[in-house]
Amino acid sequence: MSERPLPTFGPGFDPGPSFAELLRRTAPPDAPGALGGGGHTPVEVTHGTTVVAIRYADGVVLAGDRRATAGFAIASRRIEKVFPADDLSGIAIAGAAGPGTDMVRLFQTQLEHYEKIEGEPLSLEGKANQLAQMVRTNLPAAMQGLVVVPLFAGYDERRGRGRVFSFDVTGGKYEETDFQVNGSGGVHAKNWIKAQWREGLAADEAIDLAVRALFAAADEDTATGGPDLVRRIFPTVAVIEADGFRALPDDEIAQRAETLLGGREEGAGQ
Amino acid sequence: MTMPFYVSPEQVMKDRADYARKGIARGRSLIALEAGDGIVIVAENPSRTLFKISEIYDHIAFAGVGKYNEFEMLKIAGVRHADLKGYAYSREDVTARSLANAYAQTLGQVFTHEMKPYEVEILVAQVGDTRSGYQLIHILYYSTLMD
Repeated sequence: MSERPLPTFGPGFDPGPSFAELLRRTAPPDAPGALGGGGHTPVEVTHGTTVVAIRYADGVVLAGDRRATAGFAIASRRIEKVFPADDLSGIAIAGAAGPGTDMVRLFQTQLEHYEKIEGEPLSLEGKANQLAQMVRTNLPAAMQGLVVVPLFAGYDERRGRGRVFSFDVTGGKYEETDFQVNGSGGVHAKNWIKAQWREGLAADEAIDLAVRALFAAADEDTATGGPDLVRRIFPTVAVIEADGFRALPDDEIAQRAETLLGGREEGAGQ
Repeated sequence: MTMPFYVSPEQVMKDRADYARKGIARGRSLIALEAGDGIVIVAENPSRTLFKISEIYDHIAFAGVGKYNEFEMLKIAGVRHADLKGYAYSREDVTARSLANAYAQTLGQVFTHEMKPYEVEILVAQVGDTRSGYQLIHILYYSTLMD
């Protein structure tokens, strides 16, 4: 087997610490690029639905339901929409699942690549800007219906607090003060969070609030998956604090979800 | 009549090797050894900002001695090689063996084709990969691999 040669570049062609640029420089000239043109995709593609990000006293919580849809069909009951981006930040995706998970992989590689080449990690703001560029690169595909709009959240070491960023399809980056949601059930989740959020929430409270908001969204939106007690499927939740990104284990979420069941967000009383 | 200028290939190689060895000899040494569940790499380094030991990938480390800008360039190329491979295939498919071969190719190419050879010796270390296990690969300026 012949090995890949070491990627080296002459002066003026060096891609610097950008992994996306490195990919472009090393891609064969006939590699398929982004989709061009207008109109909508003729096929139903898998879509991820509702994700939430909530800032609390010591950090941020990122959570997502587990359903993916393709048109009116359920494409997956166990999809994951919350991923670590690096040690101190995470990303949650809503929209076309294929390009979304690919964007996550590219973003994770980019952050790691930058840190190894430069010797220090990007600032949280820098990471958010990087992600904005990737969302913008996806614009031609978004025009064809393959929209990917991530939520980005992390712990800002320099400022000593959690921060939440949202994006639009054109690559616009917007910092949210306290929380943000995305996806088809987002509006229901957001109302629930808006009614309950306050400054200085504890981690436990923020996690419960995120889970409740997702249940509330599932109660109103068909594309958002609710708690599935038969198959034991519950939302994915991760918290990011000064000591890093931590995905909550399944049993912990199951336990929390079960104690929350029967609340108003599940439609109790009507 | 002018005589054609002739230098035997042996002499060219010897001169280049001497040149590279001299450059490397000026540097300070480093040690790598397997210890317990890992590999310890120790380098004598008077600088606080220039590093001789770096992370390449999950289980792979890089260490270099000799001319700083040359082994730093090789380190960056190694990070690029590993990240491209991990992105194209999977994180498990990035191995020290493949990286060392790529290094050897580049160093061999530079040694025979460029104006001057690299004045470096580098080390690629890997831990815990279930297929190939612990590896310490020492790569010399003229591309020879030593396991």
